[in-house]
Amino acid sequence: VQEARARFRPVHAALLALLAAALALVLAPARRLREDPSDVLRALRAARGPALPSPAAVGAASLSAPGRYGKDTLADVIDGAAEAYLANGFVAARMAVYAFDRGAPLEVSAEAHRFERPDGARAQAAAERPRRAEPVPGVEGAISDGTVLLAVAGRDYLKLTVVTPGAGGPEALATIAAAWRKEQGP
Amino acid sequence: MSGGDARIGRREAVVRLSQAALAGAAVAGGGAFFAGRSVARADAPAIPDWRVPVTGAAARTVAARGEDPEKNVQRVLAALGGMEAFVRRGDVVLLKPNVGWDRLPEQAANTDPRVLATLVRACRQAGAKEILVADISCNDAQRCFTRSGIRRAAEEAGARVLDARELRTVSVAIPGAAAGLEVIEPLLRATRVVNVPVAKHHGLSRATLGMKNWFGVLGKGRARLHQDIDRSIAELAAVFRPTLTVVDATRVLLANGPQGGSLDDVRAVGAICAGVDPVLCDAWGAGALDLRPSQLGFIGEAERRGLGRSDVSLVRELGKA
Repeated sequence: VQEARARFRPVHAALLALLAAALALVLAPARRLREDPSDVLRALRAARGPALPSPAAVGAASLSAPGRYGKDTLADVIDGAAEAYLANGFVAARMAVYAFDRGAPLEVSAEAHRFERPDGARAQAAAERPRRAEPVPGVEGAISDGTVLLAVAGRDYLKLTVVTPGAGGPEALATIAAAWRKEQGP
Repeated sequence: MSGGDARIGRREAVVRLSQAALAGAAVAGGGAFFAGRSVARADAPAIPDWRVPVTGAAARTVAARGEDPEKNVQRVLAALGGMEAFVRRGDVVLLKPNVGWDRLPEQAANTDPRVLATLVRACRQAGAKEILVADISCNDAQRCFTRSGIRRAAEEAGARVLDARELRTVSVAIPGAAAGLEVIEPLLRATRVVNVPVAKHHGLSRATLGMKNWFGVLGKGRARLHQDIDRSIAELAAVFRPTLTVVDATRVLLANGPQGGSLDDVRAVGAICAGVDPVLCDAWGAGALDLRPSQLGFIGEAERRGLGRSDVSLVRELGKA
């Protein structure tokens, strides 16, 4: 035993300390990821492309089958407006219509667009900003005039339009935008 | 020829391999070049010319203003000599509104349903055997025709409404950038065609009016016409020669077109222009968008091709009712 103790020198202690530090560096982030599965979900969603919240997440009765569009098909669905999107670095879009069951029919057309860079998403939102749009309380990066709501989060751009007459439109817009913003993450 | 050594030398092998590679590249390149290109069939029918001669003292292009779109349509038709001047008993009339968008009438992205219904009734009174209303929408066809109010208004007035789900497209002989694109089949059996666009902003061509409205009769692949939009619009105007053009400026979308959405982008103009000169009708429509005809490239293109005139002083203004 005395012989073994004699062989343990300060350099060994230093090596052990280095090993412990390396282990901590590897394990700490892994532990953090394990503790927050929403980060994983967000990363998976981001990799899938632009997304719209589920109808359940926004309290809608239904969501029409979402259409997916790319650079070659965007013009089929928004005609000549597609050129401005492409110039801003459009990558892909998802579009659908939310239907709410609130007595009177209430429907909201929703478009989630992804751009190559955040400044492309911001430029498109600025180009389509309604004249009387105001920030939407509680929804970071969202503006609305009550009929149209625009929001940007990173490379993604959300555009919502109320397509039914009557009350409840602004509230529905804010609800969808809040759910979308939450799914986008910080 | 000697029956001895049939082997080829290294040099000849290289030459032959190079030739084979060149031939292969030519075939592959040709395939890639022509892939996806539509070629008009030699036996494809031509688009009919639906124009009718204008006789008598009736005006050729007229505009009316007022809050009631039905009255505006009735006034312009009366000044043009009535729908009877254009539609005969037994005609199959196709009305081509803009129903491209899943939007409410108040959002002004589609032709106003009241304007269309008034035209349907006028055609019926003129003795049309069949009145068709057709358009290939950009958004979901069912939603567009329902939300816009077009289906209900047209059917109640006596028309048969055909949206993209019910329309078959057929090959036709079209020159220019649209060559190879198909058109909706009812166009070929219509004996009269009335173009009923809404006047509104368009992100690419600045405005969409009558001549741009022909995009809606084209099948898959029409987006390629955006590459040179002004020339393409003028080319379409040279192919599709309507009996009458009726520009709806009841509500005008001034920004964020063609789909729009915000009510702040809409101005209640309360006007209708109708006539037999599609270029002049579009020139008048430019004014509804606070634009001069010279600011719209497709109007100049069409005028240079002799398809009409852009001098809006030629439009007979009936004033406000």
